[in-house]
Formats: sequence, structure tokens, C-alpha cells
Amino acid sequence: MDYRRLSRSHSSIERPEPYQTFNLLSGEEDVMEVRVSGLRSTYRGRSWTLEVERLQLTDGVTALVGVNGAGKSTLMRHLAGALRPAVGRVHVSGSDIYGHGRAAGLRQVGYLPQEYSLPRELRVQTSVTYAAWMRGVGRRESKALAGAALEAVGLSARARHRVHTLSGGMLRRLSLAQAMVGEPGFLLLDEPTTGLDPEQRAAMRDLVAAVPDGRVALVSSHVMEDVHTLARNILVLEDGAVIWHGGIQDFCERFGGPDRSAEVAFLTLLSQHRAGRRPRSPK
Amino acid sequence: MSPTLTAWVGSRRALTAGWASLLVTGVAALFNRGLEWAGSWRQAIDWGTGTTVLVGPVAAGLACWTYARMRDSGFHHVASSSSRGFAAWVAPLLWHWWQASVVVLASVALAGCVVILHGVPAVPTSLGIAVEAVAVLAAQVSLGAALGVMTGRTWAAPLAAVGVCLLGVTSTWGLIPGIFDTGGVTGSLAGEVFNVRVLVLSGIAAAGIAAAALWAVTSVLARRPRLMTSLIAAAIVSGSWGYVVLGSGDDRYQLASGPITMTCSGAAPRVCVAADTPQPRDDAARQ
Repeated sequence: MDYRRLSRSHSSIERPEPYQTFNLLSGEEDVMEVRVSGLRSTYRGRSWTLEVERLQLTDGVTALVGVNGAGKSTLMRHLAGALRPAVGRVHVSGSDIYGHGRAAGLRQVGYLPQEYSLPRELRVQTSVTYAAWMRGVGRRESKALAGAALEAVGLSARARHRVHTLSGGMLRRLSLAQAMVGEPGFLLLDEPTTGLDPEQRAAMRDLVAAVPDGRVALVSSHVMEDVHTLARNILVLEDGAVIWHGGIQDFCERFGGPDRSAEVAFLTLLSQHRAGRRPRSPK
Repeated sequence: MSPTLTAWVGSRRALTAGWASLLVTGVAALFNRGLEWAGSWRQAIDWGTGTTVLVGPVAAGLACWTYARMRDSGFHHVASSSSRGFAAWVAPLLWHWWQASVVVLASVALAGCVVILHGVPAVPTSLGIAVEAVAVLAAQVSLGAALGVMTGRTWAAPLAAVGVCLLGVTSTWGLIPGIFDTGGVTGSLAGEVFNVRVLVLSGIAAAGIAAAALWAVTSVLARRPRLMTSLIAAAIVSGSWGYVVLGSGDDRYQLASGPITMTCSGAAPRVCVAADTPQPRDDAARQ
């Protein structure tokens, strides 16, 4: 895949072919898919239990939304393989990431936590090379992939700079490059636009929206404008439970009022849910 | 240098400062009572490995600082979701252990050079005690790293150094089994040998402590590789056994069972001393 295309505005990019792998056993092509079944976890200090009975994420960007403390970051960690649930399974492209297929499954995962920073004294290129190495890529190949990822996020010119010399927006783009390096099939971005000014946010949105078809991306955000622009699907969490999972257009049409606003849709869904009316989620 | 090992140990300046502090500590520990050990191979090697008592705490402080930064940055989440995450998470610990081991082994080598320069004839036969010192360093560094992971605060680094140093002191005083007592004997070892049983048990117990601390260091990860879990568990079990048996209070030195090798000088009077006595026999003969 040519990463250079990703750095252009997503409205103008030419979408590459869906990301597919060839299954040697079945002789069929596997399309990236994330499946969750019977996931359940309880946390100290939380009144709720995170429960996801069944969830299936297919290609494209899915927005994960919910109020503060709804369990978005926790669900992200479970799906990223970073937090083992009390019970339940998470399959990434058919591999159980908390079971025997962990290594194979994790090779497909690119995760950007909400609060994460690599050492500030590292060089930009080194930090991305390191992220690629962690994902299981060979050392020599890591360097090449790091260069491509930096080009994708527009940081090639800063490759030799130290991380601490970058601005806030650049740091977020660097984090995105670290998550995207090695072209993982399942990308999890926890509030990637937090703390960015409107211009940087738009640039970041374009980068995330450029995730090629055939890959699964789960992006959490509080900014409903970002959600509307970015996502094909939306997943709404409330008190650790999925209260809506479906297409973003359908969501906005059903709950968004005459303007089909994502923000109005979100608030309407929440108020209906809290009032005891449980709208039936399409997925 | 590969970022795999050193990504988290700080800038080049911090790396240099780490090496410098360890080397200065090693030299200070080796020569803090002058060269009173210089006439005896056994005592010199004992002093070389004895530098662990100070080098270990400094390395523990450095490891604590590194792991506090790693925990604070949220790196454990990313490490947990990466296929080489376990290796990436443990690599800085191995780095600090290796660094401290290099300094202690260099101290032993330096002590050996001093002994050779003093013209002591006997050959070194006790270098095996360096293995125990390296095991103790693993325990010290792992304890420091564990404190760093648990607190996530860099201010815990001096506390880790002081705490690990106190373990050495209490070990030497006999308040706890002598695992962290790695040498620095002040009297002559003439007619004495190292108690191999105690050294082996001490090394096993130290490896057990290191494994228990490693368990704590990796507890923030979503999962450990199965093989590592088995190895760590085995080391903890055997270490506990070593700790209990070591609690019987035997000393790390014991009287030699065979005849004592003597070295003589002069004719009338002819002065003979045990080969491992740091006493300058030529001076005695002249007197």
C-alpha cells in the first residue's frame, strides 16, 4: 500500500483495494473482522459492569461514543489485547487475542491509547521504528515501514528531530504513525483529536478517515462533528453496555431531528435510554 | 545502540550519567578501605563482588526511575497490545542488570589486577562467587524496577536505592538471611575458603527474589508468555526453598579442610605466612 496517498485529504484519495489475507488452510481470502463474545469485566470504583454479549466490527471506521466514564477506554483496552476481561473472548481476524492465537492476533492490532507518550528524548524515526519492532516486524523492515508511516502523517521532514521538539499536534500525528506502522488490520484510536486546535483536528480527521477499506478502525471521540465526518458506523456505550450499534446515517436519521445532527442523535438516544425506552439497535 | 534495549533508559546524557554513577560507586566501594585486601586473591575477589552492596542500590534506583517513567507514560497498555510487548517491557530491566553486572565484574577484574601488581603468587580459584553477585544484582535491580512500576513516580528512585541498600546492611548484620551479603570481608581469609553451599543457596534465593519482583514488574501487562510464567514460578519456588534453608545462619566463609598453603621469604629468620594472607612477608622478614 502506498502510504503517500493517505497524507492527502481523504476526500480526494483513491481508495486502495480491501485489505485481505489468503488463508492457506481453507484456500479462501479472510477479510479483517473483529468479534467479541460474552465479554464481561467489573472494575473497582465503578458502579457498572462492562458487558458486551456480542459485537462484530467489520471494515471501515466505527466511532465509539459515550459520556465520560461510560467505559469507552476500558472497552478499547479489552479489544486491543491490553486488558484481559474477566470472561469472554475477543477474536481479531479469527485469532483469539487472549488465547492461543494471541501473537497472531496482536500483529493485526495498532493501538493508540488516550494518554500515551514514548520517551521525549528519542528521535522521531526511532520511536516509530521501535513501535514497528514491537508489532513483530523485523529490524530492517521496521525502518522502511517507519519512513512510510511518517510520510503518511506528514512528519518525514522531522524524522531526525527529537520527540520533545514537536508541537502538540505533531505529537498526536506521531502517535498515529506509531499505531499505523506495519499496516495493522485493526486500528484502535482512543480520542485521537483531544487537545488539538480546529485545524489540527481537521488534519487528524483526514488521516484517520484515510484508513483503507478492508481494515477495521475503532475511534473514540467526544466530538460529534468528528464522528459524523469520520465514521461509517457508530457504537454508543452507556454504563458499560452497548446501547446502539449501527450505521451513522441511520443513527442520525432516526434520532438526529430535522438537521440529522449526530450530536442531537446522541443526546436523544441517551435520554430515551435513561427514560427506560430502549431503542432497538440494528446490529 | 539498539532502541530495543535503551528506548526507555533516558537520553544519551542520562545514559552517560548512569554509567558514571555506577562506575564511581564501584570504584568507591572497592577502595573505601584502601588496599588492605591487595595481598590475597580470595579477599580481593571478595571485595570485588562486595561492590554489589553499593552498585546494586544505585542500579535499583536507575531501574526504578526507568520503570516509573514507563508506567507513567501508559506504555504498559501499548506493550500489552503488541506481539513483542513482553520483550519490550522487560528489556530495560535486562539493560540495568547487565550494566550493573559489567561494573561489578569490572571491579573484580580490577581487584585481580591490583593483586597481580602486588606480586601475590597464588592463582585465583574463587571466581565462581561472581555468579552469586550477579544473581544478587538481578534481585536488587528487579526490586527497584518493581517499585517503579507500582508507584509510577520517578521520586521513588532514591527510595528504591535506599531500601535496597538497607537490605544489604540488614543481610550483613544477620537480621535477614545473608542473601544480599556479597563480600567485603575485613579480616584475612587465610586458612578459610568460601562456603560453596551457602553461596549456591544465596544465589538461588536471590534468583527467586528477582523472579518474584519480575512477576510484579510484569503484573501490569495483560498476559505473560506461558514459558515465562513457568520459569518465573519455578524460580520463585526454588528461591523460597533457598531462602528457608539459608535461614539456618551458616556463614559464607568456612575453615579450609585441607592443609594451608604457605609462602615463605628470607633465610634467617625465614618468615612463612599463609598464601592468602595480605601481610607483606618481605617486610616481616626484614624486621
